[in-house]
Amino acid sequence: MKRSISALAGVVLLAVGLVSCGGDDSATTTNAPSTDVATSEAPATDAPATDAPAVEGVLNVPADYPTIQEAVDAAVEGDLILIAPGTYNEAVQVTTNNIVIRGLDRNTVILDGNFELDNGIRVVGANGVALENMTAMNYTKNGFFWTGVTGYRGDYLTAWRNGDYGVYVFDSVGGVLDHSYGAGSPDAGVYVGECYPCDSLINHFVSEHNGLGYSGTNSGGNMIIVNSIFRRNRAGVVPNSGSYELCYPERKTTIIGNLVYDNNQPDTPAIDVAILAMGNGILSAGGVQNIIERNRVWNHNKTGIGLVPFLEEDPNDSMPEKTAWDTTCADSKKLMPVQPDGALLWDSQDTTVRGNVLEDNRRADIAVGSAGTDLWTLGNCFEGNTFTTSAPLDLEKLAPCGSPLSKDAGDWTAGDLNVITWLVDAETAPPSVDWKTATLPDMPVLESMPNAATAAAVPASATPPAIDLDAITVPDKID
Amino acid sequence: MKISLVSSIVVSAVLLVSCGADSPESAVTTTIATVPPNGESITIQVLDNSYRPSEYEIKAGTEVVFENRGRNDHNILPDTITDDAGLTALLASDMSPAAWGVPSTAFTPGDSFTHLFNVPGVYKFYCSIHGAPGAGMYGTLTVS
Ligand SMILES: [Cu+2]
Repeated sequence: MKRSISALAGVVLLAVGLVSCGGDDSATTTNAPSTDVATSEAPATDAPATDAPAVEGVLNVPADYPTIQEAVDAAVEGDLILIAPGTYNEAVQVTTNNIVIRGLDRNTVILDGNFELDNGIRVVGANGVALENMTAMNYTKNGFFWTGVTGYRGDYLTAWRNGDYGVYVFDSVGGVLDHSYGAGSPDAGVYVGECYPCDSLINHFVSEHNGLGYSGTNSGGNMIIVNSIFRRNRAGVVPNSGSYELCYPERKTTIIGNLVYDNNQPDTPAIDVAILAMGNGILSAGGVQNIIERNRVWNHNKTGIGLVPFLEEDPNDSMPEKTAWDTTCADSKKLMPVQPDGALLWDSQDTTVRGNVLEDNRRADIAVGSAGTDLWTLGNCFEGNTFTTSAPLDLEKLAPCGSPLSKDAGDWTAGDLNVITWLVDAETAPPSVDWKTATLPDMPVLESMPNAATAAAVPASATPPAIDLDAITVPDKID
Repeated sequence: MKISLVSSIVVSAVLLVSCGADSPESAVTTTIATVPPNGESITIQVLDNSYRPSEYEIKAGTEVVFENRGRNDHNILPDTITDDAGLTALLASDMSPAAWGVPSTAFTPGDSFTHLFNVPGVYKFYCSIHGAPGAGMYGTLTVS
């Protein structure tokens, strides 16, 4: 190999660079502040007492550490950070595995972003972090956010008026979100996306006045949503597929025993997709192999439970073949994309809709639609639901569970769903309201974690607790 | 493979090493060889919330086009930078190869950012909205 150096050689640029400290440079003495901050045995300060005794592995805020971030930075695996009631204007970042961050009172331990800070608590690449019993509000992005982790848990969390999501779980597996609440976000009150298998459980969650109650893009695989309430969002529960995130399609999400109602709310903040999905209770947008059972779903302008396509106009990869649906997220990330020429139509397929109770869903209680694909080829089945209307008509006769679907089962076009008109509807739907000023109901006073001051710190397990799905019955109507 | 270095530009970078309020400033001079554009270009998709591919090896002189093909804002920050403001300050004050990237304000959905990597090295980067150095949304370009 020949290297020729031309007459241009020797051009010298003087560049001023900034280099962060670290490595061996630190051997030279500086007056930089020590990162070895006080431990929990630190002497008492004048900060408000938390009433918590000094206990090995317990870091009290603000008694021992004035800020949550300082306590987090000082914590080691297995530690418990206990936060006293108060308002904390912090965006906390967690990068230490297996710590527990707990408020002493869910409703009065408040992280407030003042419409300037991005996330209340963000856990980045730290496994096994549990967040418990506190409120995050007025953050420009998310209330609580885990990304790139194995093992996560959120219990008794309140996310209120945040600019992207309430509780946001991305590219993370093995988790539980329990007894938590999300309101006032333009995207979803609760989101779990880009995981397969997710091995995640959403239980006893209340999501309201968001663009979407639940959203899960390209998630699934032991992804369970049960015993929760999704109400007064633009749209309720919306698993969805698309190549703008990795690990498509969304598949194998189990949605059982939830109350889903009044998701026509016109005055929420809302991303475009939420406006497009408005007026639907449980809406699979290009999801496959989902199970939707024993939910009670009522009062929606469009469908109670709708299985519809998602049209992706400018996709980033070709659609995976059905034989590749079981590819793990980790493996599919290694594949190089093959960009298709045109749009992709992600049809909802192979989904079971069984034993739900539906009423007053004004386009149809149960529905399946596409934009050109023959519906009997999609493999979605409907059985044992209590309903009045369907699209197409006689849907349970056309698409029973347990046997292959047939073109000859009846008239698949009578009363069928025209989802193309939804694009038109979105043009005239009430526009998004600024998340900072949207009208929300009074912040509810919600149940706190029992024995928050004394309960042992248990980092998040990567295995969510087993749940007896068969024992879940259709919940009673409320409100 | 033929690599013809028409010019071997020598960059002397004066690096300000800042280690705290009272730390002395020390000047370090390094010599970095750069190569001209080699005519090659690769594209890295910036999705929600991943760079694809997240690791890539290229030859010095290759142009890299980052396209925001997601539905959200992202940024591309060298690992030494903590946020958009830090990147803006870096780009304004530094012409060394370590000064590159794009803030989220200039990288909304549909935007693209092109950078010529003409100095060999390992370039680690991340999105401060959706990651941290080496975690969440991050990537590595190895330039040989
Ligand atoms: Cu990003």
